[in-house]
Amino acid sequence: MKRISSFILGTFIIVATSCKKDSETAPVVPVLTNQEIQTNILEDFSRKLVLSTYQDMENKMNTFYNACLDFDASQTQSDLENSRIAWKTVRAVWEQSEAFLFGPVSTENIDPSTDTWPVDYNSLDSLLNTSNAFTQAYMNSLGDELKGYHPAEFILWGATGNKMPVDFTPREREYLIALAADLQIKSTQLRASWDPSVADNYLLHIVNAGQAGSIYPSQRAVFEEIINAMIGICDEVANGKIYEPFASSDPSLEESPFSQNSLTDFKNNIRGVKNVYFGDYLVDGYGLNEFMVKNNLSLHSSVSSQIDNALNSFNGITVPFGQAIFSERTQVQHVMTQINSLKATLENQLLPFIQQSITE
Amino acid sequence: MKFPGKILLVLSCFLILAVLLHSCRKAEEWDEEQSDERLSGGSQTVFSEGVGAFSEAFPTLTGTRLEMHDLGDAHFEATFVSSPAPLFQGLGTIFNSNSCFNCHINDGRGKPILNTEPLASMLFRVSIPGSGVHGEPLSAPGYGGQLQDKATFGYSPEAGVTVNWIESTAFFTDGDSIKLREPVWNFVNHYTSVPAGMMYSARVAPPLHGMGLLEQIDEYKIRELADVNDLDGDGISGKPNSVWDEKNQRKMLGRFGWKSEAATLDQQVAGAYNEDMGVTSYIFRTESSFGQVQYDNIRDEPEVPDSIFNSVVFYVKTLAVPARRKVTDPVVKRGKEIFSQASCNKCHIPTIRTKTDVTFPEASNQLIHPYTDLLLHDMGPGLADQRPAYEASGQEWRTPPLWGIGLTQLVNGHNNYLHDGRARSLMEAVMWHGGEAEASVNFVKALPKADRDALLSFLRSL
Repeated sequence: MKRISSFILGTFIIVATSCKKDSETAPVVPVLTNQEIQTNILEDFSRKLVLSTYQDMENKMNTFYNACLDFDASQTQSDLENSRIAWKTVRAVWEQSEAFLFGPVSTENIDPSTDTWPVDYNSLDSLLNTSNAFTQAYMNSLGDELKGYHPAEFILWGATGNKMPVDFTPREREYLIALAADLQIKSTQLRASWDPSVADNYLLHIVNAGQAGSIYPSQRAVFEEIINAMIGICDEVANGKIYEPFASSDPSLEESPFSQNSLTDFKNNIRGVKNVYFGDYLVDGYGLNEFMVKNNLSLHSSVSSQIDNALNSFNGITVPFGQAIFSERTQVQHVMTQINSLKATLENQLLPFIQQSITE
Repeated sequence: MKFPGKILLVLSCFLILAVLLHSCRKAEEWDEEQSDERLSGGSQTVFSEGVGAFSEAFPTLTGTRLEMHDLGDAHFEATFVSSPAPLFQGLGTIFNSNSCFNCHINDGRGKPILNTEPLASMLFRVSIPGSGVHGEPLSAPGYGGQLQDKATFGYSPEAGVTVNWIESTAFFTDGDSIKLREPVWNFVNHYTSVPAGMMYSARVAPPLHGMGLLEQIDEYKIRELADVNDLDGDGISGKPNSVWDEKNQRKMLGRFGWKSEAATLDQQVAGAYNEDMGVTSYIFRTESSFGQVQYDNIRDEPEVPDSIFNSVVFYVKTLAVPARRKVTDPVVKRGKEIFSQASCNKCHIPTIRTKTDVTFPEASNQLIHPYTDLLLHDMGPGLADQRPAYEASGQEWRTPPLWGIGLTQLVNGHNNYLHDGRARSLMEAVMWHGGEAEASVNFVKALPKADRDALLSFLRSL
């Protein structure tokens, strides 16, 4: 009898407890409200994603600079290879960061002076033929067309991509170091522009969206900004960087031809979209996925599978991009199709859904 | 029941009168001010309040017209390099920027330099006293009509520019004050001797959204707003500029640029390619450096293909206008009232309708809210550049459109306004108004703080 009454009592307690609302218990795993998730996403977007990406870029730019110094000192094939690897390594971070091309990178002219394309061969040749010292003050006086990743790429690989250490003139090595130093300054400037410990930083505009002092009138406006940037890079990759050389069968329109790094560049752009959606870079953070899993699982599944499809579509291409636009056109077309599908979902489904769901 | 004849007669008269009166009533006129205020660009309005707010295409563009806009967009961002080159050749030899986008960042507003850094999104027009055959400012020997502060490698920039800022303070009636800054431009390292009396006029890059709609305002509507001799005695004149259009080979009503020096977007874009980047087009086939020692003697004109040039013009013509925000907010509404009470709306005309044009259906017959009359006004000595351009005196400026102005910080990361970007806030810009706007500024100065804030809230909602 006692056991039976304990059983009944126990059952009653369980039933009664299960009837209680979540908010009245202390749940082991807290169920966050949409508002809390939104705030977490913006917090992690700015700190764990954007700031970490720029911090990582700054570190890898320093590695690139040091590798250029080492190559200049030794002029060995292995140090040349190290410089090239270091260029590709930091380039990967830059391309991922292009998925959030707003804020100081855009308004402070950092993008044009870092990633100007195409290379101005005439000016570069003329510059190398002078005896001007490549001081930082001198670099500051030069136009954007003579700075950034692509002139460095051209010097590192040469027009045909098979440059040997012996092919480098002392002026080229000197200029390579000056370019790396200039890129270092730009990457430090970029990191500082989002660093909450630096005055007038952009991070605070994001995390304080909707409050006094932020240029964003609402959290919704930041979410729109973030998703529009994702849409923007998908459009740029599929309908600009890939489509233009593809449509006109013109490899001279390729973005990173000397290093044959274009396909990696493109893929890293889409990886950047994935980073933003999942809020992850080096460490896990809150991303749009957290909001979507809670509020629209089916759309979340579409977005996340289309991101993967877009990334995997690159695997079909087996030769460098400059050749693929001639010999693997079906596969290149497939990449554009997949990225455009992702873009359409972001534009026609995710953006409107977020606009309707986030009211403040 | 039988009505007596007299009563019948009276009743009939009433009936006839009623019918007549009713038929005389006109349909009530639709008060255009009552339209949805958010739709600044009519049906070409976009609801966007981020960095891309000025960069969106007309929402009704489709098919090949949208493709043409996108093609123009890509070429608007193209970076030019020195000739000869496989891609985008033709930069320079002297120039201000190597890409449209680098001045019109995010299709928005440029800003001045702070000290000695290179000019990034502004330039200087130059001329010598007098005017040419079409009334245009006289080209300065050795410098032309614009100072190119950059050059391709091996050539010299025409000059360098630095600036000193002079701070002053303006006071409101209630004792509050605001800091103002005024630029003193220094021109250094001229590549050749400077002609006597050379005049310089600083110009930041203007935002580009909605320009296609402004081009579609019927000329007579703009002329109707003019009051050159202030016949209505309200202290505000409004003068149309009359400028030479290279493509049409005739003088036309000026609409674009800080002094309305261009009548059409064809002219404005071709002028920018030519003067700002040193790139020739079918409209301006001659390098800006022609006749100077900097001329490269490469016969590659026109450097931008006609189809590409046309697509870039089309891109600019079809940039949508961002919608207003917070139009029902009581403070914003109060600010709008003050905007009218201060007579700001006499030049910054809120509402106007574009003409009917079957060849440009997207911009045809649209009710828009640009907040401009596209006319020249005397802004007083404080803002004067003392460089006349056609009909515009050294103190006159075109009323700039205010639509989208509240999004400047988001799009361009700064709050610098006026032709040389001297104002660091909207209130600073208001305070610099003089001349015909003197009374308006005095009105604002006398406002209590809450009303001044309301005025700013209204401007930020645009």
